[in-house]
Amino acid sequence: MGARILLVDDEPNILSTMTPLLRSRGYDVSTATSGRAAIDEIERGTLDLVVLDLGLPDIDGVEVCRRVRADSRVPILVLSARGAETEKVRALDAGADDYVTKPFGTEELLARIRVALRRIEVPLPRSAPIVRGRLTIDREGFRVSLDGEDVHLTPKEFELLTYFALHPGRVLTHRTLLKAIWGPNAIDQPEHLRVLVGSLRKKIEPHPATPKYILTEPWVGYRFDLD
Amino acid sequence: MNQTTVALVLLLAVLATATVARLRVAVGVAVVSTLALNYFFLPPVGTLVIADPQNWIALFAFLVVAITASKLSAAAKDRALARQKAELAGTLLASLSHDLRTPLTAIRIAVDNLSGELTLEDRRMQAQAATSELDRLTRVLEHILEMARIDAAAIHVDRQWVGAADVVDAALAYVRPVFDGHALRIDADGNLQTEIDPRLASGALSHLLENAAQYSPADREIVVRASVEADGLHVTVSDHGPGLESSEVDQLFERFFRGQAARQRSSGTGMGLSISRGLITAAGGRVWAENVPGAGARFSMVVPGRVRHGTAQ
Repeated sequence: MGARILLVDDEPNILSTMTPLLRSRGYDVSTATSGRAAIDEIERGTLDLVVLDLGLPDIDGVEVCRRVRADSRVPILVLSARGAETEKVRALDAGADDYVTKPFGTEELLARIRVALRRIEVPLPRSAPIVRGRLTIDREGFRVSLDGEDVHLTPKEFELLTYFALHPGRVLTHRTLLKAIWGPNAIDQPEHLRVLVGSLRKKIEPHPATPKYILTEPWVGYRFDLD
Repeated sequence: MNQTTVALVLLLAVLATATVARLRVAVGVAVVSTLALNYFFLPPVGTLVIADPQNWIALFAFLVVAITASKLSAAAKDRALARQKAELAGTLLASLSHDLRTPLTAIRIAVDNLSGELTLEDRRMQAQAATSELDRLTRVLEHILEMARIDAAAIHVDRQWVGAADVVDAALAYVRPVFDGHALRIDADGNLQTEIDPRLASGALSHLLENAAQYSPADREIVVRASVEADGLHVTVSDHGPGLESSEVDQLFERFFRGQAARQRSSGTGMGLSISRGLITAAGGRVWAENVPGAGARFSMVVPGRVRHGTAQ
């Protein structure tokens, strides 16, 4: 059997179309129609991925993310019929890993599911270098190389790149990144982040104007991608 | 009391009036205050003569306070109203966004599934899911269009002689799909006819029926009573849903208002009851809701029209 995916949605026709879709791709699918049922199922700890709708009848999806994150690292892919960025940001800040806005293309959803499943994080020992595609990050020696060539980064650029590399494919909100790099007092200063991302892109992107690695999620944050 | 104290007390009165009442009233209070101050307290007391030119300043101060405070409070009220409108628009967008995106998503996946390899049984299920979501999209679209027609005051009343049962039958034809599995009891007498617009009446009734079907458990009966009385058509729809909070009864027919029970569910556009009221108002009638303790909700509508015996046809 493939990866175990829990599908949480209160719309019967979303479940009755998504379930055969995911099964046909070899996933082991179970379903829940309420936030309460989803939390119970997740707490059993046997899942590889949760695909979660935000508009649930009992507990809001954002709240489900928050409660699940209290003691689980299972990847959460949010499906949202709410297009507004603030909603996405709320869900991501509450612990979701990625979001897809309804209606979505089937292939897009499947691709996001593959990325989310690949991301099941194995904590790396601090001494081990992080290898992501053409990038190698040596955390102990504070060295970064691109295709074997050393890249000179400032300490903040190094910190940001390391954070990205440890969360590949995941949408990281401005708030999450600001907090991770500058601490909780910096969350209202997105311009710091924009400047830092800009300078990091100049050093690691082949074409900084059309980035390949550090992708912008408009109004939400960034996603580090090496696909 | 000396003159200053009196003047300050009157000033407070003017200020208080200006914050709650309209500008004209506030100016009136300011003028009366000036006259009172002048007549009772300023020398020469007992006359409206102003001996000291400084008292003109008192009049001026009262007027300025009245006008300024009244303008400020009007601006604050405008802002509150604008905020309310913005909130409503936000609710509209969130609700529409959900009601359009969800069926589109299910249809898209179902169609993609159908182009893959499936058993015959699975194909049937996917096609069924797509069809039922298409029906839902159609309903949402119809709601939007009907609402737009009501907003544009583009509803024309086209009267015909009809019986109560005709209106109920037409309304049921619109909403047949949502009544799958619901027990329905219809009590419509057929002896009298009334001259109303059957399209508007049955359209309005269909939204009441749809509402009842949504909130009543599938195994509980929904009762429709329709009759032609001396003043026109009367219909009530009683359901066995969760009932209504007394605070909700007045708001139910407001656009995008969703009651306590409705917030627990994702279906429903929040437009149906408001459309129902729009149609009935256009027909000169009225619609209202009541809570029936221990039973559920009861919606009633009255559409006025001339009445005759059906046999005359």
